[in-house]
Amino acid sequence: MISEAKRYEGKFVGGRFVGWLVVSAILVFLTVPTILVVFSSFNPTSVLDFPPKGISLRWYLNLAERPDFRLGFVNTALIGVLSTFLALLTGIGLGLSIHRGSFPGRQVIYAGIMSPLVLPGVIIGVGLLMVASKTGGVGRFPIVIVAHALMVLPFVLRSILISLENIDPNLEKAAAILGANATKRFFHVTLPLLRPGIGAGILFALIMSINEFTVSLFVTARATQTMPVVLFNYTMAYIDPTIAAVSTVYIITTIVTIWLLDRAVGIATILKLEGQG
Amino acid sequence: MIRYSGKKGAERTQEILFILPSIIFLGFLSWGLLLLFQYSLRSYIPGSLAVGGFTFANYERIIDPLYLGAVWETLLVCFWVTGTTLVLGYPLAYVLIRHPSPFIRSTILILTILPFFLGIIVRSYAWMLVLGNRGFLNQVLTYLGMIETPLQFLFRRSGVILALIQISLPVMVIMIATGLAHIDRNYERTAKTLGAGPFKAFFHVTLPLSLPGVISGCIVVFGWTLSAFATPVMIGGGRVYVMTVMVYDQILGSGNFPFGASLGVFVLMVDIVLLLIGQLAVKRIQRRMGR
Repeated sequence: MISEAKRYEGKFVGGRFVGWLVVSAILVFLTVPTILVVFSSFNPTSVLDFPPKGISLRWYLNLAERPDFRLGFVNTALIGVLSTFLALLTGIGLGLSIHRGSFPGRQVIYAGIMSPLVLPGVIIGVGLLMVASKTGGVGRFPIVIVAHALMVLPFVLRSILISLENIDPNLEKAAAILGANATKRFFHVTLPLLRPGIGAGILFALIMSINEFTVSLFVTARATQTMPVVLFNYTMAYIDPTIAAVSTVYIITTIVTIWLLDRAVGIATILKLEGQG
Repeated sequence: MIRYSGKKGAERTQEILFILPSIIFLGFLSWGLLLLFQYSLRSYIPGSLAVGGFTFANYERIIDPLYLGAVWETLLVCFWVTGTTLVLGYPLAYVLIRHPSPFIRSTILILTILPFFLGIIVRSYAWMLVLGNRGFLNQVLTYLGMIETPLQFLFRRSGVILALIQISLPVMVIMIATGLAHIDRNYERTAKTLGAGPFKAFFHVTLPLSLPGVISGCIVVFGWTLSAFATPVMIGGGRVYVMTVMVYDQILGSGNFPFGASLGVFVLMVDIVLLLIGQLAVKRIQRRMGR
């Protein structure tokens, strides 16, 4: 490993410099818009000047005063928590069944649950809107919660499956030999061992739910609007840094969540980035 | 392997209980897709949400130049975004996986991943700040003396493409990086031992072996761009008329559920065909590599 590193260090000093320049430029391109949002939220005027002319909290105050933002915040929290809970129950059950793996049609169910990752949000949104109109639930909480649970389920299921792969199957066998029945094994052995996967699943689900937009736009009404929908409607009407203030709150929440996720299971593991050296 | 039918009654009940919620959720999703399909084959009664009898007219309407224009616009945006994210994403993914320093690897990972988890509204709004007439880009260009009057980026295809590139780049990087991470580095070492220079080793060994990741990345980014809705609306301001915006206009704007549904089915078909092509391509490459 050391010799490999040294070889890497030693060659193409010029090439490495160009490489660094390219990689840094790409990283700047990726991050600068986010940083601008944070700057803009503290800017005293609605147009962001460079360099900034001072610091002000007026957009945060505006945020706290507007009832639509307050309602959006409450709805987002409520829908986030409930859909995460539903997705978690569903994901744990399916994850365990897939892991033990012998029920018929499990490939189809797995593919179906993962499909919101690749299906266009507009399509899912329109479809669920039509379901809501058939059942008389247009713009009500149940359809919004179902929609959010569907959207976050792929992430929950992946976290659970990763965690299951890391559990030593002998532990369950040992419990069975020692006389624990299926229910006891589940609550005293499997579930505690699943904790990292459950933790990651909760964080993933919350972060995806509070950010979900496209499907929400179709299934929510004024009373059930989540924050991203409120933000979208606001930008259609006004352009001022109130959005930047909300976005900054989002950015901080996201950074904290990512940090927690990394501690719970490791981001690289979730993304399957760990391979052969 | 325990056979399903050989299980005890209690275990089978437990199993059914475990997958039941998933089946209920899938029921909602399939119901929605079925309704979409069903509505797309019904005629539209202007001014009413009720639909008429069976017809193919909605699909025939897609041939209209106005709507074909949206198909073309969408594909154009998709190709630009996919191509550019591939070119920008590969070097980043390579350094992310291969750099000897764990600190640099994790810094790159965090910086790449963070925008991925920020919602689409926050990221599109960020690009409104960058691209506006008095936005960041114009101010920087003016400051540097490169332009005198601000350039128009908002409400243009170029602005939408630029924003979508940044928005899709993390996905491309992750997909390519996943492919790169699973390459057995002994192949490269062997190539180098046998006298291949670093360039030759890269182009003849590493690059071909990373192709499955590259193809999956392109498919996912193409699919994402095809599905993109908030960015074209916010940056394009309704003037970059892609297919998803058209579906939205028909459904929530004009209340024409049947035509909106047929456009939706069309988008869905393009998406599915794309995924199938991608899967076939990855399988063929893997077979040729003898796995």
